[in-house]
Amino acid sequence: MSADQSTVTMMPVNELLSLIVSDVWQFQVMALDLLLHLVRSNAGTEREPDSTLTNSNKQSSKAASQKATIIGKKDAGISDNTAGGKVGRRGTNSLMTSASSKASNSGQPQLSKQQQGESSGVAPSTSILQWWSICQEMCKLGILRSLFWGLLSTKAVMRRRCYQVGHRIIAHIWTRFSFIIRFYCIENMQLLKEMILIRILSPGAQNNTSGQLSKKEFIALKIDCVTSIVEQGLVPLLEHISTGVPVVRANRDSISPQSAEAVPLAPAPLDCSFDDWQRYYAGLQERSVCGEAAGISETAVASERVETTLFPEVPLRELAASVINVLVDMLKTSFIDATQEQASRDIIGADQDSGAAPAAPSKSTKNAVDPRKAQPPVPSPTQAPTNPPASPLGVLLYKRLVNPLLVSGNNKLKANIFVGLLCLGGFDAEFSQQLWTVPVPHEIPRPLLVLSSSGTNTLNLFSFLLSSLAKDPTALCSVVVSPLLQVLSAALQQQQRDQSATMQSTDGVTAEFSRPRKAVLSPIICCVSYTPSHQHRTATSKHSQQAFDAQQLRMQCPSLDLIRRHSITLATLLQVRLCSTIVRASI
Amino acid sequence: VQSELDGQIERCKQLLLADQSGSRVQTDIVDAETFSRVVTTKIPVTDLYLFAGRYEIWQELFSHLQDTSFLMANSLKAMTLRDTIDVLLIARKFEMKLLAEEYVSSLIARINVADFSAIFEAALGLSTIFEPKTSSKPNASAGNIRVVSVNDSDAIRRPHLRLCCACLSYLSTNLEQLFRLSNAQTSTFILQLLHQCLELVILP
Repeated sequence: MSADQSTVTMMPVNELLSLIVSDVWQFQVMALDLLLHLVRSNAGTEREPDSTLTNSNKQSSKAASQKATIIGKKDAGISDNTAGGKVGRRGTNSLMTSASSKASNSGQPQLSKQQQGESSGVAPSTSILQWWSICQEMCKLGILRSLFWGLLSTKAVMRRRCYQVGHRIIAHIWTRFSFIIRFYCIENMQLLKEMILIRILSPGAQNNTSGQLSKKEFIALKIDCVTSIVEQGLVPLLEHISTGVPVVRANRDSISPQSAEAVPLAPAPLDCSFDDWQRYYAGLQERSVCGEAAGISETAVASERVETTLFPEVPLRELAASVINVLVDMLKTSFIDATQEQASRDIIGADQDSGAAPAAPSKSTKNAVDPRKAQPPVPSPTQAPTNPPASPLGVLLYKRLVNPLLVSGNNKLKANIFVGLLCLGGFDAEFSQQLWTVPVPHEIPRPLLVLSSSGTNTLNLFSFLLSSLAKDPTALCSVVVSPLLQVLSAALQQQQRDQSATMQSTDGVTAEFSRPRKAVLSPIICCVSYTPSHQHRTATSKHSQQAFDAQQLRMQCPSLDLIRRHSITLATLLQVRLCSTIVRASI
Repeated sequence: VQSELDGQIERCKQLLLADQSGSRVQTDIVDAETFSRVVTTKIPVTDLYLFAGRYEIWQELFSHLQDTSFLMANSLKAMTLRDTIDVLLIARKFEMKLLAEEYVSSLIARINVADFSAIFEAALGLSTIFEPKTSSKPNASAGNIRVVSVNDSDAIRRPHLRLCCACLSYLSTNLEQLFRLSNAQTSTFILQLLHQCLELVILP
């Protein structure tokens, strides 16, 4: 937006959010710009969050702001009557934004919240409420998906806007100190301001003044955000973004500034499923592999003005990594809370069961418990609590994720949650342990087929899931088998890469071992031959053991050198034995 | 005769010691080989290693050690599924990587509805091999006998990624057929294997 353009834009919330998922990237940028202006007016600051990305979007920002003005004028007639009012749940009200790029670009002292509220006709508390509501709407309408996919857009300005909005959403919703610290390096003083603001806004930190979110609303917002990310299948996407993909791109000096903004990649799909992003990233990796196959080495790269780099940029990858860390932290806490709650319920249930006999003894049953012989009841956790009470946030979040995973009829939703949990489990060993042992909520009916976990008799989340999907092979395939195959295939590729690297580095050693030697000592071993009836084993039943005395047979081994070429372990074992045998024989 | 035998024993010791150190050996190799064979065939079986796995399996394995790929392919085709799994377990136990990959390739080629559960079980590292029931420590009654166990090895308890991927790939394309043609017990067993597979993926 140019310096002389100070625009007050009014447009319905639903239109603004629908622009974010538009197919036209300019509209997306414009909508994100408007959101950013709203955030800045709330935060009382105009500083750009990332200095590394600032120089690429001035043109687009200007174009977008002009479009915003035009659209704002078009929509003015619709939203005039809602100016200054509260923001509705489904975009029936208006969003008022005050954009001043002059202040933004020059870094001049900012307007206070009150001043901004006056200039836009919105009270500060109402503006804050608007932002929270918009966050919630974004979670519910699937806007977060577009936002995170935008981090992989071919347009640098688009990536930058998505980063800015995504960062602010996360920073405003999650008030964890560690999370703020992670962003401190990027945001510098800006984050200190945000942190102070967040502490003020945080329901537990200060008295709840009028206009702020209640604790319940705040929890609902957090849960919405976390579940949205998991349910929309964004966890693996975030993992890939945080890892980055090596891509070959042209040097900025050799190409026009316009094309320099864009990494030469196919546009990221907006509506993506688990398979979509797999295909998308497979495409990315093929491009980089093609570049390598074409002989573009690191040294040749510089001379040909082509370089290999990780995509997307560092701050974007850090943002994705931070979101994953926060997700893991929250879910870990949530699963602990759920386990505690379940345990306390079990104890209460056991108490009630044991207490029911003396209260109402059944005369018809022969094994009725004699009240006089009954043991004294165990103190219930409500009487003498040993564990801290489970947090409502944790239990709610757990149920919001687990219930649809187990009982929903939407296989895509189930697959997204399953993959999300699987990915998050890979980031934290403690969380993966909790994930495996977390109990299933009592409210969910038990399936007929029960799979027992190895080592335990409890029904864990995944045995429950598999049992519930047993009657629907298609669902089982799409929800469990396909993601599992993807995970293992990725692990296999990594293993093969590691092995090839190891083989290259140990070529000399391998050659030494495989060099034929002249020593051809052949040890003798003993093996057991047993009757065919004992050979038959089904997959489920273990084979029977048989005494070996009557059936052990000598066997001449190949030479030690030949064995050593295949197995150093076996050769060493046999050689030691052969040596001792010869020594024993010679005595 | 005794002095000649002593000399051969001494040469054999040197040969073994030199071989252990990895240096070149310039002794009479034919004599040493003949000697070791004669000596070791004369000693009682209780003084030998008793290996887990059947005699026939070890025969196949030793033939594969010195076989060409063509002969090995034919041999693998002739082996039963159970024998192929057993020989894979031994190869994994003793870290015979080339052979193990050959056996895995053979198993992948044999995946079908009837054999799926057994192969998937082997892929997850849940299969076991026949082991003679005896103490692994020497005692007076059994002489110096020592059983080389395979089932207690960590190497065979680990899932084999390539085989796992092949099984899951087959499962993803043939799940309906697999569940339709298998009986209830096998279907449940496949689900349990899937559960085990999940455990391997989720738990560190």
